[in-house]
Amino acid sequence: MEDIHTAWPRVLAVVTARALLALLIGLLLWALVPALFGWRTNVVMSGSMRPHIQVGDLVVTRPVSVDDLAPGQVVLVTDRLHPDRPLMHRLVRETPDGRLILRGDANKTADSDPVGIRDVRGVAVLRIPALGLPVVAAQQHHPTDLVLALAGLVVLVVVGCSSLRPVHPRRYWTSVRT
Amino acid sequence: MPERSSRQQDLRPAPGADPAVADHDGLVARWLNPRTVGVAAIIAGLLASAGLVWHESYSAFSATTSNSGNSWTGGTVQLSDDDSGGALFNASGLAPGSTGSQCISVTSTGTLPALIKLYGTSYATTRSLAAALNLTVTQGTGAGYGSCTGFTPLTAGATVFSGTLAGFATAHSTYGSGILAGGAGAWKTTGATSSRTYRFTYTMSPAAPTSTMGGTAAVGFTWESQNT
Repeated sequence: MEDIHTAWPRVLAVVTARALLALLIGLLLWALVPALFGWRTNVVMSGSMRPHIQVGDLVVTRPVSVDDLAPGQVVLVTDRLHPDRPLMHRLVRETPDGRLILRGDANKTADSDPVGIRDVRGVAVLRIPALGLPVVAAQQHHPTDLVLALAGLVVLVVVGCSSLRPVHPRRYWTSVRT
Repeated sequence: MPERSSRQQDLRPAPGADPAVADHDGLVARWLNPRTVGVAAIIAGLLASAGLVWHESYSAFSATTSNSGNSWTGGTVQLSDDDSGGALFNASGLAPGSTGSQCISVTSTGTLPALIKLYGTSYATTRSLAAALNLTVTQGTGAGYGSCTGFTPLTAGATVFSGTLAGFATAHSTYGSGILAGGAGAWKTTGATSSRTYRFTYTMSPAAPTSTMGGTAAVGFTWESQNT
């Protein structure tokens, strides 16, 4: 019969899988719940804010009033050059004519095009690491990465949902009667 | 903790086993019962998610100064040139009709598809000299910084700019207003390394007014690459 001494590898696997699943769900909640009160969550698609923000991170931004903007904050703005793709860079300073100079942490120089105050959509408050990587893989057409991620998730769910109760090998053969 | 199910009794040793071992297993069974362990794992995972998000957010967003840059890595766009920090032109004693040419090679080594544009930075002129300097920028292949020997213009869209230095610097001062040589001449990368050579030719207008005498003009030619 399985006892506490022989069961530990199985127990450890199930416990680890459950903890990881809970971690994933917790991260997902951090990404989704802020949307309930009007905050936004974006997937980081390029590396201009490395090393603080990596490709595949999710970043939650909250709306901000112009007066509360301060240099050093990471802001999400509408990029006039690519209106379909918001830009997230760090605020460097305000120009005398009331526009904003931004810079990607990984860039050697500040962005050459100043951003209008009206284009500011919010200021970044939460960073959820790596959770958006499947989105990046899908957008960059890396199906293998997607399949691997999905397979990993299935394994976690199967192992995590299996019972922690002791296994009773006897049941499978003692009940046979002739 | 009370016995909750017959399952726990299964963990007890068989009759006749060492009483010390039996005691030990009984304790382990009580404190490590399946429900406690399963719930503890889930709570630990949720707490870890909170800790992770807090820690990562704190390190990314509460810094009041950004890092010093130069942390370029893959998965981005990157641009370099071959001037080693030198200037393209340092011309003095110009007179109407004076002319000169210089070349520079620009290389895009990013891994993302990008669009590269040329514009002017740190523009300054005195006595309107820049308005009397004609500038032609041609793109092609071959040659590089220091010599235009072997420069071959592109067969289509070779002319990037033709006008006065003042016109270049005032009309094209940011990436947004930068020059994207139209049609076949536009420099779009697919994420692979690609190079272009740019030939800059200046000519001081023969009709330059005498008021430009003693004037100065300076501009930085800047290429910028942005992910498309």
